[in-house]
Formats: sequence, C-alpha cells, structure tokens
Amino acid sequence: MNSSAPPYKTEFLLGGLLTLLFLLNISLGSVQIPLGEIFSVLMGRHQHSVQADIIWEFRLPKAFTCILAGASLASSGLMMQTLFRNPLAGPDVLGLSSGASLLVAMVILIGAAGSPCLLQISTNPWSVALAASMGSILVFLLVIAVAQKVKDNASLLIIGLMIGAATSSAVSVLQFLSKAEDLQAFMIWTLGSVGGTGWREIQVLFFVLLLGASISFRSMKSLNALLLGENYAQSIGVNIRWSRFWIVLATSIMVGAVTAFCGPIAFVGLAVPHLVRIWIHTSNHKILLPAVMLAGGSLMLLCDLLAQLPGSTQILPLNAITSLMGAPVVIWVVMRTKSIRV
Amino acid sequence: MVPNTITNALTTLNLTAGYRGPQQVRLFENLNLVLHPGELVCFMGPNGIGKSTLLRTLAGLQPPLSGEIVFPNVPGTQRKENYVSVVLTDRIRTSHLTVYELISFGRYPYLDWTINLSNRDKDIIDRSIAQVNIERLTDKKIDELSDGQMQMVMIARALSQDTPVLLLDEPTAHLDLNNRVEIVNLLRKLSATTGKAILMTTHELELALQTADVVWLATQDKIIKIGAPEDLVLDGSFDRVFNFKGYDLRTGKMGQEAHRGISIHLVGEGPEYVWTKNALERSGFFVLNNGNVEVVIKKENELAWCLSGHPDFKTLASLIAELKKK
Repeated sequence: MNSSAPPYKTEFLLGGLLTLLFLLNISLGSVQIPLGEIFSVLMGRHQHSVQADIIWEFRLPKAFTCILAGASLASSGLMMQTLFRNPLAGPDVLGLSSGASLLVAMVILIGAAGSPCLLQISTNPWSVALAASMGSILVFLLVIAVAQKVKDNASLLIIGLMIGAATSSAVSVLQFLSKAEDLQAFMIWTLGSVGGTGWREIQVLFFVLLLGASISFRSMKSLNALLLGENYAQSIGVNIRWSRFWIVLATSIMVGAVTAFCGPIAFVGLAVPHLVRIWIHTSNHKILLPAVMLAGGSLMLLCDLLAQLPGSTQILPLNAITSLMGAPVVIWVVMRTKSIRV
Repeated sequence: MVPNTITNALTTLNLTAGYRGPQQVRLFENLNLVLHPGELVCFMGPNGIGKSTLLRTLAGLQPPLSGEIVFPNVPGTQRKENYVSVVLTDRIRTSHLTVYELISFGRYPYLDWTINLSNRDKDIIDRSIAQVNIERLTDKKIDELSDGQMQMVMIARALSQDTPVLLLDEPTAHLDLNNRVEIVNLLRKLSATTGKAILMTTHELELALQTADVVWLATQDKIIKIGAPEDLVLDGSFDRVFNFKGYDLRTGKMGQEAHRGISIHLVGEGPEYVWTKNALERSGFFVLNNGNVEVVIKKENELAWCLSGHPDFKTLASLIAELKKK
C-alpha cells in the first residue's frame, strides 16, 4: 500500500515499548530492584539471593503472564470488533468469560456445601482453571451451534450478549445462596490477577496464544474483507460461515485460557484495538494484529505496575486498574476524534 | 433454442429467484436470461418488484429457489468471485481505509492468506484507477470522500476484481446530476472498451433510454421483458409497467392542455426555437404555423424575443408574463 509508513516501524516502536515496560514491571514493586541487578540475575549470577528468588519465582512469571494475557485479550477484542462491525465489542461479547465465571462460581461457591470430596475439588488450584476452561468451552459450543442457524453476525452478537446475561444471573443466584468466606473467594477471583500463575500455567497460556494467533493471522484476509460488510466480503470470495467459525474459535480458546488463569480481565480487549487504530490510523489487520498484541501486552504490564503501587506492599485489584485507566483514556480519545468506528 | 453458454458472459437456465423462509416467496420464475460481453443492460421495474433480489441471486450472494446460473468454461463448482463483481448500495462504514486499500480488496479472490500484492495485482489496481479517473483520490481515506467519489471508488474496486460480469445495484441513486451522468457515461465506456457485460438496476428512465443497449423490464407477472429501450417505448411496455400519469413517453413530454385562447406563430431556429416552444407549451399556449400572435426570436448580439407592439423581451419569463395578459 503506497500510503503506509515504512514497514514494521510501528511494530518496532511497540516492541520497544513492551521491552521497556517489561523491565520496569520487573524492577518496580514492593521491593525495588535496579536494572543492573535484573540483568545479572537473568544471566545466572546471584542464584540464591533474595532478589533472584523474587525475580524468578514471582516477577518474571507475572510479567510473562501480563504479556500473554494482554496479547490474547487484545487480539480477541480486535477480532470481535471486526466480526460484529461494532466498536463496543470486546472479548467477552460472546459470553465466554461469563460462562467461565459461572462454572468457577459453581466450584467455589458450592464446594463446601456437602461432602469432603467436593471440598477437595474446590480447594485445588487447578480446579478453578479447569472449571473456567470448561465454562468457556460450553459457551463456545453453544455459540457455534447457534451460529450455524443464524444468518448475519448481528444476530450472533445479540445471542452472545444474552448468554452473558443469563450466566450472570445464574452466578447471582449462586452468590445469594453461599457463605461469606466463599463469596469473598469468588469475588477476589472476579477482580482478576496475574500473580497466581506458575511456569506450567504460563506454558499453557503461551501455547494457546500461539494457536489463537496462528488462526487469527490465517484469517487476516477474511477479517479485512469483513470491513466492507458481509455482502461485499462474500462477493470477493470469503465464506462467511467458515470465517465466523475460525474467528470465534480463536477468540474462545484465548479468552478461555486467560480467564482460567487470571480471572475475567476487564477492558483490555475493548480498549487496546481502539487505541492502536487511532494511533496508527489503519484498519488493515495485517498491521493491526501484531500491533494490537504488542500494545495489549504493554498495557497489561503497565496496569500491573500501577496495581503494585511501587514502594509499598499494598496491591490493588487488577480489574480496577484496567478500568480506571482504560475508561478515561478511551473517552479522551473519542472526544479527540469525534467519531469512533471500527 | 439452446442458449450458447460459452459465448454468453452469463446465462440463467429456468431461474426462479426469491426468498426461502417460513413461506417461500417467488419473485421471478423460470427466467432464461443472457448477458453478452460488451453490453450495457439496464434492469428496470416498479419499486419493490425484486430487482435487488434478482441481482443478488445473479451475483451468488443468495441462492436461487431453483434453476441455475451458468458461466462459460467453468468446470465443476463455480467460484463466483472470479466471474462476477458487484457494486451495491451498502454503505462502507469503516474509517482509516485508504482508497487504494479499498480498491485492492478487489484482488482478494486471487490472493492467498498473506494478502501480498504481486506486481501484476498492482498493475491491475492502477489500471482500474485510471479507467475510473480517480488518480488524485488514491491516498485519501474513504471517510473523506463525497458520495459521488465513493461510488467511483467502489466501481474501481469492482474493476480490479477483473471479472467478465459487473453488476451494479442503483449506482446512481442519491447522486446529483453531474455524478449520475459521469457514472453512466463511465459504465458505457467500460462496456464498450473492456468487453465486460454490465448490468445495472436503475430508476432513471431518461438515462437508461439514452445509454442502455438492452433493457430488462420487470413486469407484474414475475417475468422480464427484454428489448432495446426504444422498442419497449414504442410498443408501450414502459407505459404498461409504470402507469405514467400525464407523461407521454413517446414524445417525452408531460401532457399539457393548451388552455389559453391565443395560439403563437413562432419564428426562429435551432435550440432557441426548441426551448422557446417548450416554454410556451408549458405555459399553456398552442404553437402553430398559423397562430394568431407572432413571436420572432432575434439572435444578433444578444438573445431577444419580439412581439409586435412591445419592446424586445430579454427573457422568456417576461415574454410569457406579457402573453398571459392577453
């Protein structure tokens, strides 16, 4: 295209931003670790110092989780906005995180209801992850089944939103029937957290992101074509049913995995595509998809950084930070551009 | 007669078009239509009769109720996107797309998932831009364009798809007269120079009559009458379909009743004569060779009208105002 900037200049800038935030994220926190120390620990020196432990066991996994979660959510958000031609769409628009929440609620809130067997399940950390994944998968299957019967994407969007509403109501009922400490456990889960993941979980997140990203890149042509609307997309050879399936699949696995390990993270998937689109003035997914992933990772690192309140031991919930930061930024951006379209 | 599906750009065989659904709605039945290369066809008919639906069926955007659409030399399953390109009434609401990017979407049927444009693709895109004369617009964003410019861009996009058949749904709707004329002339030029078969649905009777090679006229009984535009005028088909009230298609004039007592003998020639006659008849005067009042058109330095007993009139309006007083 003769009007775009030198190729990959934006990706370069974003990559730089990501690296910077990555390093900041690792160095700042309740204990400040200077950059030099970080590099020497990463090189393998000072193996058993306190700083090395903090970095390897806590900060590095957290930082990687931020990057993987941010990239997954941002690319899912972009695909949902394009598929549904709706600037308000985010990764949760199909009801996936709501479905995950429902099954996690079932695990946490009824775990102690009766037998020791159920108690065993509810306290196992992997149970929550498994429950969240199953919740997402069930919603995904439901959405796909409906998608076969529904002609246009707008109908699918409404159905996804209604599934979200239905599962939220079910969760409310469960909350109503539960004990105080279970309620608090569930509420803490809904606040979102990137601190609870170990290296094994990160491997899963990485693999899922790889798979989701591959599918989304393979769908670049369909995504671009959908910018013209379904009629024109069809007229240039896009199979609407198939492209819808792959896009929903990629979104579902990425959102499912992130929700499983981090809880439902608000805002990142919705805001990042808009911020990137307005910064680099393009709607071409060939440029947007990688850019949005890098930006998503950066935003998560930043939010996590702020949630840490450098210097103190106080930690704020992640979702609060993502929303508090994200909402005003999007409002400011919309007011500057006067109209926001996908 | 068996249609020659090899030389026709598009042939339909017993095509029935309409909607499936809880009740099947049949809009057209058993159509055997043909599009020839290099032809500009105007598809006309009353509102709501199903022109857009038929066009979408021909484009492969919705399945026919029965029958087939055949393209030449296509073995096995047909990939419609290589044979038919469309310009629809859908509005494109995406920001941040440049005109060049939008036109390049026409190459998508020929690209793989990496959407890399080869040199040949770029040449075809440049050629489409040149054919539509929009070189100065290529770097603009599509939300900076006027309606007329947008329409030209969508036509360029369809051209870059390089298909033998081009279908347009109401391409001149909502455009001002300049744009309408420009677009219809462009389509005429394209059908003549590129050999494409071009079909457009339209309401614009006058433009269609002047530019179409063939008119498809949709009638109330689910069939389509086909012929040269003038044939359909002379045999009254248009009159039957459109129920013109007071508009005589053959002479191209609204029926006027000459209700004034005087008749005018008009002396003059050329376009000034024609337009003066129109103005007088519109105002209710007969214009006859033995009319009782003589009006002479003078064309020396300026245009003026002479009526004996009055100073020359510089405008038709003032002449007619005076005549009405008699």
